Amino acid sequence: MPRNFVLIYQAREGSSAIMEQLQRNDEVVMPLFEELDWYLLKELPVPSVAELLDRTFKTGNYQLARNTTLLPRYISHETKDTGKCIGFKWRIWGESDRIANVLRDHDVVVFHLLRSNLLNYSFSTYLSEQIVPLTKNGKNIGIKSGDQLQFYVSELPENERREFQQWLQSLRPTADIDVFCRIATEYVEHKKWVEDNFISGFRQKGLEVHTLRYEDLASDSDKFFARLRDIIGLSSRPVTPRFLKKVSPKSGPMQLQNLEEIERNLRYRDLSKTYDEFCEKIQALDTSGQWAPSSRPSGSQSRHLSCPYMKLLDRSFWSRAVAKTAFKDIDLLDRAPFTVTSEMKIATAGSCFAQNISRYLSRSGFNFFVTEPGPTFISKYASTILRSYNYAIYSARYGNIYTARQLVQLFDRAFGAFEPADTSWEDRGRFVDPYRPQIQPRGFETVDELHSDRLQHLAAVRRMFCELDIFVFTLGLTETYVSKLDGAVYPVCPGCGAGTYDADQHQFTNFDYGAVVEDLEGFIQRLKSVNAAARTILTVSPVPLVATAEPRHVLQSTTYSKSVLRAAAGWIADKYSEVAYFPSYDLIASPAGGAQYFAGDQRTVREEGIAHAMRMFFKHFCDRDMVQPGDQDFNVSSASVDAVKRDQLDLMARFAAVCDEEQLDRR
Amino acid sequence: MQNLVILGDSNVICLGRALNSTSCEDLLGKVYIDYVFNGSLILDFVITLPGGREIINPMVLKSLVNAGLCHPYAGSPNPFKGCLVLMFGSTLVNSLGLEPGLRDITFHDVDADGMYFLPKGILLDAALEVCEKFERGLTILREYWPEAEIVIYGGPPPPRDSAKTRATMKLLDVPDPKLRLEVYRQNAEALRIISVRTSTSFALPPAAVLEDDGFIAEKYNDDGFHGTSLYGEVIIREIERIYLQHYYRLVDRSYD
Repeated sequence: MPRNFVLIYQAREGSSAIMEQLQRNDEVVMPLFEELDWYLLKELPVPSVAELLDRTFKTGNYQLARNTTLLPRYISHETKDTGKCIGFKWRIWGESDRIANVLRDHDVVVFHLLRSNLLNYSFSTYLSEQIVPLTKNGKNIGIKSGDQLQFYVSELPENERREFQQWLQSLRPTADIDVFCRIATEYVEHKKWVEDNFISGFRQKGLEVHTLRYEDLASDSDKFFARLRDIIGLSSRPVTPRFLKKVSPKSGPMQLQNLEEIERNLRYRDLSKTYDEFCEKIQALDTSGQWAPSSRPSGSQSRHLSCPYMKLLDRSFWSRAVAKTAFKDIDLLDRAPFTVTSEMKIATAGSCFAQNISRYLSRSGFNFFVTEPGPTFISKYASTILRSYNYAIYSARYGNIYTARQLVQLFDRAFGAFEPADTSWEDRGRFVDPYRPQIQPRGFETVDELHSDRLQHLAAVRRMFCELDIFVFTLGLTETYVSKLDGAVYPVCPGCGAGTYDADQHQFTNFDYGAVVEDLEGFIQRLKSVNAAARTILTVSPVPLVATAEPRHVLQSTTYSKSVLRAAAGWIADKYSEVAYFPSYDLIASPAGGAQYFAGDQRTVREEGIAHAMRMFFKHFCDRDMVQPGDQDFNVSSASVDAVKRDQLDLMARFAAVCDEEQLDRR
Repeated sequence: MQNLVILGDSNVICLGRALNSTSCEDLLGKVYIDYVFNGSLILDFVITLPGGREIINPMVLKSLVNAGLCHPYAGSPNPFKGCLVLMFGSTLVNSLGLEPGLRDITFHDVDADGMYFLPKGILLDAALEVCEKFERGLTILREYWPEAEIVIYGGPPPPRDSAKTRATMKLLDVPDPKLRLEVYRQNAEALRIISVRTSTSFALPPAAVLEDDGFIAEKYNDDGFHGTSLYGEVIIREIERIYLQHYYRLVDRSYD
């Protein structure tokens, strides 16, 4: 015999659709539709809600003490028969303990319905409450405030329904943010109230509680109802739902003109974050098996539930987390291992892609820590010059650091543990630093000038490592050239843009996974030795290789290089608690994105991709909202750099990223 | 109409004083000097209209018209064939010391306490960027008066001893005079490059007013930024010698 059930719901969660579908089943008696609601019963001389509930489950009849004509169309007069279960939906209220006892006495399965996508919920409510009632077409079909839009639509003839849906899509309203947030707030508060006051108590009393998601209903109603039938124990074959093809999970908010503004709204973001955490908690409880009675279900169903994948969150499944999610909404992170605050000194280094992180951080008011800022008297009147001389692009004037080995050697050079034999390259009477060949346009005037500048630079690097709070390092390459004399790593092949390639002195190297891990570990240990509190965020540049020195296709080498770097960075982050991996590469380079975040050359990362990654970064790592940088934003704000003033470096972002690697393809 | 017109920022004041003194009486009526405005002639030589079009700063044009040059908008042909001298100091040099918190900068010794080493190349590029609008202005001027000789005349170099600079600009952070001199030299190089690009002439104060190492001689230094009247007299005579006489030799034989 199927089990009794109750569906705890709130408006616009698809409850009516679910109940209409279940009502078609001969094994289900549905004595009432939504008549246990507080607003319907508050004026009636009824016993306590627990007693009313008890009587309903006992008899199958929803019998008020006094008949009322208020609720004619919602009440079934069917009496409970043997072999049938009782089920209805309910906006729950009343005395929690007594209700729990009644439900337990009648072996009632509790379904808790919610919408995990707060934005969609809010939009749906906003649309039906605020937009449709005000529109001409809405009035033409008789929709008024409070009506259930989807039912009106489902009753329309096919052509009218299509026309209406097209009209709906074309509305593209601009939402009043205050109203939108109010709707979202009420929903979140109500869901938490239900959970805190009823559902958690039900679980404690051993009731079986299942969380049902509207999104699952909307995306795959067959599967949704199959699950319901399994849990309730209905034997009937599924009937294809009649009106569930109405709105796809992502079609709603797409119609909002100011969707991005809403998503940026601090109040909404806080709310959304709170709600996401709430849903996650609920889901964890729901899938933990705590509520599942050992005696049921049995057979194939229990085998199904024992599958470890049943306990995983949606994000673990491609079908739910990728295939049915708009790519721009994909969020790869769960939570960051530590928080980055605006007071922290954040230093950056790495491949050209690393510059984007410092750009977004500084624009959003974070403390981009610069220890080699350049002279301020120049930047005031010649704002672009400092950047062309590579000041304040990264925290110190080291240019691109593509490999982990290069980073380790920079550290060792700064602290006097390594002094490469190759100290300068002469080029038509000018002198180039082999370890930052693009740093000085046209090179240095003299070797002495180069050495003096290097001394100062390494002092700035020392200070950076010693004082930073967060070090963001973007791994770019595994291919590199090293000096045969002492293994010194060059950022770019000698002879490409600067210097002269000499096969007797220079050697191509392509680091493997073990070497990258070893170098990264070496760096983490070194950093810890001078700055115990420092934390590191590793990223991998999604930018493909400009060229490969391996005798194979550049695409193949790109795959190798990025795979090694990604795996090594992940391994290090898993091993060291002070290290986090930020998956900007995973997002931007994902095949799921269909290269939409790359420009026409399939290499340059478009601003939308960077923004998406940085939204993720800010959401999980940061204590404040992201501000989208404009063309002129490169806002250095280092409290510890006394000579740098914010406004003086604001204009720097107008330039493209500085990339030594570009020198490899100059033909 | 004058045949020698000298326009500039505060650096022309000392020339004006010299012209009004008895020692330069012979030049009265031959030279027109105007202090265009109190600011940076380099930065404000050109202004950008809302639509993006750049024009010569109206203050400059007004001075030019006052000097007797036909207003470029009045129509052609424009008769000015004399010598127009544009005289100004170095914005970068002047900005040194105006910036609070300026760190001491060296080109020589990175180990010196607290000194910030600056590779030189950046100064020339910075000076060129500072002069970008000025360069475009020169191009416009050249179109207005294609037959005139346009001269860019640099202001005085800084003094070796910054005591006077410090005394006259008490609130400022006065940097190392060697840094100021190096910035001055790079700025001069930038102006020389621009003069070549714009088919104009370029001149610096003569060696007579300098010390051996390139600083301005003490007796010609007024306040650490500008020259004295004596300096003005030397400069105006130098300009007259090179440009005015040259002009009259070409167009007015009576001058000989």
